Amino acid sequence: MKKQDPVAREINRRLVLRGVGGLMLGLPLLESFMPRRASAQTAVRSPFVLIIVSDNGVVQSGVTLGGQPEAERFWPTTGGALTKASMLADKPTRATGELADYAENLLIVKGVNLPYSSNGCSHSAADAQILTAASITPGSTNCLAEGISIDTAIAKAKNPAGRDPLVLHAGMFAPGGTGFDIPGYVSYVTPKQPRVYIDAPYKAYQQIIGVVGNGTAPTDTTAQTLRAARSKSINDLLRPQIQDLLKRTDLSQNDVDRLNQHFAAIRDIEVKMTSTSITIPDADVATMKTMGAKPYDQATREAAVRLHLDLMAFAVAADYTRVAVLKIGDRIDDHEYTINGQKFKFHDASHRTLGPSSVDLCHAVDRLMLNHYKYLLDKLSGYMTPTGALLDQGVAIWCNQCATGAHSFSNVPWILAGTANGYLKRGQFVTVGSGQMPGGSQDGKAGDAANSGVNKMLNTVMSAAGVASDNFGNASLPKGVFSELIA
Amino acid sequence: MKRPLNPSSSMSWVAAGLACGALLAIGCTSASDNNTMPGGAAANPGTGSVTGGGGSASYAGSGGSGTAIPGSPPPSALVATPRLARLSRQQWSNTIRDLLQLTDISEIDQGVSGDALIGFDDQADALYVTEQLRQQLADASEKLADVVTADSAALARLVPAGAPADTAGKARAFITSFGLRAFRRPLTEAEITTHLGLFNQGGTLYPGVDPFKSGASLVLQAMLQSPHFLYRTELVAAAPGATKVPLNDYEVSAKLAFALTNTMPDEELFTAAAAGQLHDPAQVAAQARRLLDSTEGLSGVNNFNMQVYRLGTYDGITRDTQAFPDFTPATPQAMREEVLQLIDWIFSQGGSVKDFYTTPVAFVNKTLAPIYGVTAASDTFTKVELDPTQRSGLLTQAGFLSSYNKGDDPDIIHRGVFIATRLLCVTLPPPSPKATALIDLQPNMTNRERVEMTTGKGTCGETCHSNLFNPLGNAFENYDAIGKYRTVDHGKPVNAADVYRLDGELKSFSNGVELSHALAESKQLHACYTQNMMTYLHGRLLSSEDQPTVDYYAQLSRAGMISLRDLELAVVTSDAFLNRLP
Repeated sequence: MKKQDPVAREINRRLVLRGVGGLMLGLPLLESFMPRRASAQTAVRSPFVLIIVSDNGVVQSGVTLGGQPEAERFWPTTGGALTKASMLADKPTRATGELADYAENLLIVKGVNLPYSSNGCSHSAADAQILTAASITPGSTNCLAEGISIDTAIAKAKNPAGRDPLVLHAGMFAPGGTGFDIPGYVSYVTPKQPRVYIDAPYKAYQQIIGVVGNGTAPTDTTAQTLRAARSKSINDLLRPQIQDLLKRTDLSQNDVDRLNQHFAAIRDIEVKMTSTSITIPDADVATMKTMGAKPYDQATREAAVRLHLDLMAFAVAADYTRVAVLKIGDRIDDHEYTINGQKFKFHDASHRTLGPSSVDLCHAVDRLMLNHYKYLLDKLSGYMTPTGALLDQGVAIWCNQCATGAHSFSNVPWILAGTANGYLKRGQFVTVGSGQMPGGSQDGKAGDAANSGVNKMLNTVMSAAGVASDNFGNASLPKGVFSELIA
Repeated sequence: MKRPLNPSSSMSWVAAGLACGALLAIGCTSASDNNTMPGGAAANPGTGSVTGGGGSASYAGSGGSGTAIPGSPPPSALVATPRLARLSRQQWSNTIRDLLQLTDISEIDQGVSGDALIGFDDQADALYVTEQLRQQLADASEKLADVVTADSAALARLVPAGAPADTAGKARAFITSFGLRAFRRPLTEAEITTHLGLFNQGGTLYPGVDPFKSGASLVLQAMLQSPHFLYRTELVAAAPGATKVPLNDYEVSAKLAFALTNTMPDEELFTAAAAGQLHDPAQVAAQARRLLDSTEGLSGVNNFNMQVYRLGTYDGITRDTQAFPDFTPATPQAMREEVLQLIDWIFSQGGSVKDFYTTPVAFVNKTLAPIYGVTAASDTFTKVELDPTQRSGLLTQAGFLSSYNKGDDPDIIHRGVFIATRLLCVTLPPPSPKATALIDLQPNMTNRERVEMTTGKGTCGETCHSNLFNPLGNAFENYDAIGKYRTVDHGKPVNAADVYRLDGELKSFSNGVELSHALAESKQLHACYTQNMMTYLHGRLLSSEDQPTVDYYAQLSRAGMISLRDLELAVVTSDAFLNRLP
């Protein structure tokens, strides 16, 4: 990517981006990166990791739940180097062609498998593994991951102490619930403890600006200092309360674990002397507010996705967090789309229950999902730093819980963009492991974890984030990274 | 996470390993997350008495055949229970409202996330204070303190009458009184001193603010973030050599209140605790009855049933309004409200679980009236008696009938799966990988025929679908995709008759009304409901030690010998509820 001349950057301090409402809005250059002189130091932060997890698989070669073969409509035609021209040529027939503008930034990875077979509900089993590579508990819709997720690990290593990853959700179901109607958890705080999502974009926005500010430098540092002092005084009273409880010898291990987690979570407020100069456009904040606290309305789902993507980019640009996750959909994605005049529920189409048009409708949704991903890449490209666009200073990932609508756990798509400061390759379509779907029915069957389990992908991403890892996930899985992806 | 009770032996024909055919994978509805059904002895209703841990009631039997129901419940088996139970999300909201005596906390409430739970919302082992939640609670406590201290009247409500006028004396009185309500027990002298120390920092940390307000704000924030507020605790010391430890009066008051009303103890409970009355089983029972008969008690009942019957998902019901002109934007909420009003009515009338599935009573407003074929002039819900040959309780209400639908036809499979898993606590085996999509609807093909051709005899779904849940869904083919009664489907007469193995025996039925009545008489249904209720009231998954108690009350429920109200009463006055292991 061409780097801008520092003088030009001084002149072009604002890049114009399009907000959710179509308004043309300006974003400032990242003040925290503004050099005092044209030859000022390069600011280097830990690479960020942003992950979008979609549901219901994609339309790729394989078989349906009914055993019918399906043609390839997702992956690029040819392996190896990706160019805009080649991806544009693929675009009429392959969903990944929607990302042609970013061909040279992409690392499209085929062949990643989930290592553990489903106990019943393959969607739940997939959710439990996709970011954990952990074994899963017995149970169907209520299976849980027996390990932490990658966002938890990266946040622990790279975020300010005590700052959770930003984990967002655009779907139909609120936290909690039983049986079928659950959001489908991909982020885990501890083994078997899913992390609750932030559903409402406005809640996430408030959480972020509560830490980094909202573009206005604090004028009253005295107020900030007093607030921090109050926080400390209160916490100085709270900590001994928990410590006294922990001294008891008659608590259960579960009681102790929960108290320890609570104790570790108590943090004093830090005085905010500066504010990020980056802002979310007022119009978008207004839209967030109108969605209310329970944004499960199908009518606003797509807008919620875009706002969450705005927030993910904002959160890493403003250094609120080094890692964020967005789950689109729930345990399944049952969002109702209208495409070519046909109204349908996505999950129904993914199971091909809507007749011959099912596969075309799913393919159309694949393109919609990748355009959401492209929107995120646009946002990250819009944030400029002295060393180039923010996009390349981390990795933005799109993946799916399943490989296909038939719940295959083999060839789960992973698309990466951004080299994480040169750690990852770029502009490549790579196949890891065998890259072939196993024959016959694969519904919820574990894939080839010996060669290309998702644990290796997670190790690779963690390493890219600056958290060296070769054994993330279940300890029985083969260690290592996907060296094919590393520059 | 505790493992649920083991599958009933009456389901052995499933455990025999019959290859499960296709579970039609729409919605991936392959298994229950609920506890599975315990087996139960046959019930022989007869005259007997029910004794809980404290109160007692006598019930006249209604006759029957089989084993006689014991006159008293089995001894409570104490199991290891959490000593610290974090308030559930809803308990926190309700308690904040009641503790601070604020009518509207919605804006602050929205800033606090729910919990990533699978199961009832009050299961202590799964309720944590994470980094994110801790920060949200800290922010909320700050805002709540601001709201209270900005309003002199609001702050004055939290200061006891007769408090000294001087700031120091008033502070002590405030800390002592508010602290008792916040921690749900009297503060120790050390705790009072500590909080006074914090109070006295008010002048420094809120310069220029009224000394009492500034100190009170700090104390409010600290108490709302305290583990003694956020957790319901059972910490009374065990006597040396004790095999069981009675909860103390304040612990009983808190546990009763949260279980029955989903909020903190009220003043009467605090008074009873202060007077040492709550280690007397008779007094506990009296308080429990009072709570059950209160508005807050109904709220607690609703919270339980909202979760059992997944009423929260009704908001997501959508329909093609051209195909269903009687379905309006107001319909989903009305469907939910209808269920809650019916359950409230049954509860208040002293009804039982049976009534859920047998009563033709409904609560209808003008939004729902067209669906039921009645007239209603306003948005107010009015009690009506529907045609008992067409309507019989919850399963013939529009909400259940609409809530799983895909498209314009009733969802036989998911209606059936709901009944099997939610009402009968059946654990369904995993779906077959050969699961197929529904075949296309052909001319002159009914909805049932379509489903049977896809999953019935001769298909890979035959064993699972045909035996485990499709029949339960077939029974309701007289109700269309929004619950309107019909006798014709795609030009052909509706066939709602089928057979289902209930309590180990094949049971025939002609339609949904007959099935509803059969379910109401079944051991499985009553055991499942009892199990769910005990899980919820105890705030923990049940263990095998709880089995005899489940069996006993399920028998009474099935015999019509215990009302919903008395079922709750029995649980919360039991030894298992009022004591803990050392």
